[in-house]
Amino acid sequence: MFLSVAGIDCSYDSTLVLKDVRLQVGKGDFVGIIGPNGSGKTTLLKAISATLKPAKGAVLLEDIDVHSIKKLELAKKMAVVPQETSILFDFTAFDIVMMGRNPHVDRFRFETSKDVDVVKEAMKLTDCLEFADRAVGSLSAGEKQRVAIAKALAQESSVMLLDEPTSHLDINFQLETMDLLRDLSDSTKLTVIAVFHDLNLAARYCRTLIILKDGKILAAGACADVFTKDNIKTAYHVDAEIRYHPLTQSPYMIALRSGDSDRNMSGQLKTLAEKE
Amino acid sequence: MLKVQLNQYSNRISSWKKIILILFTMLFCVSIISLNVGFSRIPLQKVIAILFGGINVNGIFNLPEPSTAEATILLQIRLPRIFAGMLVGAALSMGGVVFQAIFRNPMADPYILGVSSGAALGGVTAIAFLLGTTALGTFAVPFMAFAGASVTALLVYRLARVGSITPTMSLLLSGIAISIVLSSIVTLTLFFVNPYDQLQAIVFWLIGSLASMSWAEVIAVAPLILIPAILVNFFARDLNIVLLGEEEAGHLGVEIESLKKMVLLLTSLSIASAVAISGIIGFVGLIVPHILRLMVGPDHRILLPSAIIGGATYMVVFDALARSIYPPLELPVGVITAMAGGPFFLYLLRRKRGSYRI
Repeated sequence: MFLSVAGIDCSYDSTLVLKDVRLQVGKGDFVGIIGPNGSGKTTLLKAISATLKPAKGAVLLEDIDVHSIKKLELAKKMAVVPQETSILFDFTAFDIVMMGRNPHVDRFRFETSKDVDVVKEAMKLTDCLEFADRAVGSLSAGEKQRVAIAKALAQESSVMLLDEPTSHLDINFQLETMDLLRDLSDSTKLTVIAVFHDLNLAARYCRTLIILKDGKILAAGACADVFTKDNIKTAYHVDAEIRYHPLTQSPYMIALRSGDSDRNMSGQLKTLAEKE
Repeated sequence: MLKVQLNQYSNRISSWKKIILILFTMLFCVSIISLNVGFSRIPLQKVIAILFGGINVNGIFNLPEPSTAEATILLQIRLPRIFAGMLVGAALSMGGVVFQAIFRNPMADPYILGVSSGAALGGVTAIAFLLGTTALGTFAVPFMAFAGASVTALLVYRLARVGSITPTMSLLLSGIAISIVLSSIVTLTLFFVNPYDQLQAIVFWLIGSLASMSWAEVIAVAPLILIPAILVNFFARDLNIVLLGEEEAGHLGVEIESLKKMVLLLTSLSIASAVAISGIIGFVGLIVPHILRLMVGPDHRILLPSAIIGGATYMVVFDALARSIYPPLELPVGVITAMAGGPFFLYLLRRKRGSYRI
């Protein structure tokens, strides 16, 4: 298997955040990780990116433990887009994207015109070439996010990990970014693993979906099999209706009411409705 | 400004070369001018005659014949002093640039880690206990300063360490705490030394001065400052990336813990060497990186060499001022750098308000 998470336990201090998580990801797959707050989504991403060492088990990339791979080698294979990117001092957007070339440029050399071309291409794809010369500190959150994705693209890696990649983006850039990532995964076999807050966005674009709950995998598999009423209810305690959109052919959900209906507002509304 | 724009990105390296050339020229000119400054003024033509007499420019330019006294003042007193100034300025500025990057804090400088205080305590101990036996004293001060600096750097690093990583905040706080403790021990020492000769020697050394610098001292510390100043440039791209944060730097292939160890070792070594010969000269490591950053931009591949050369120039200028403001008295250069540097720093901060997150 291209990337496999082999039964990892992860803990912060003494709290176990991930429990025996097992996962197989094929090359070119588009994987979405969803789940309620505190379910361990970001922790799982950190374990995969070798930022966090699992207490038990290992993450294997092409059968090699990611923790045994040198950082510079790993950076050629795996790019990470964090939730937020900020930098001290007035580096331009171009400078930041060029930092993505770091694993490819020898310590004793400067970047070549090939590196400049890769950076320009990455910035063109993410629509941020127009503010290439502006200081990153002066960009909006959405613009910064696109710069961060361009930087990851410039790494020319085979895996890209993203932590809520669309959270700061307007709807048009959300769709553009997701379209771009899926195109890349289709055309260049880029493996995308991303954490999502927006369930419908995840359901629309991801081929594989993973639902985490309390540090364990609740469900994993093809999007249509995982994105079900029952799974949503178990994970989020929300009654939902799942439909398939005729144009996109992908599932989407409408949250109806909180599943714990006897002790909250929607429960009261329900009883009111019943009286009438 | 000299900042590099996207459309001329490919010309960047040649423009960087130009910047370095301009800075070297400035350093050279400032050094020549500062050679004629001091209690006994030596005209510029004579300075050139003494320096380059060996290659017989006399015949071409018909330069005035300098006296042997003038030659001695120039070659044995002022020249080593100017070289010492260059070395100290280069070391402190390099330390400032590196610390500001590694700690991702624009206010960090060589003093924040307590490295300077450690060197100072080592030096003061040497003066307090060993200066009576003079021959031993000359070697003991620099040696003890090295020892103090490296022990402090090691101690701060160990104290700040949590598990296998060294969080920046804990490193900064340990540095400040250790620095305060060491400074008070230095102050305490002042009560127990001979008030007539040792006290004066210690106070002068602590204030920071480049007076009475000998060639022996300059030659002894030169490799310890110059070699790190060259080596540290190979980590310039890593220092850029570290500014994104340690975790992200890791994702881009930077081995953050070994980078920290490497560059902190290099800078500690050169800062200790600088403190050993000059005492504590403040504000250089803070001001010079900021001035150069405004001129050449934040990229460490140009910022580091620029700050090293610029720091050398800065120090030569301020030492010339120290010699000439109030003759025949020579003011301690550390006082002048602090008095001039502080307000200038505030001016820069106001002008570029919003650019620095402090």
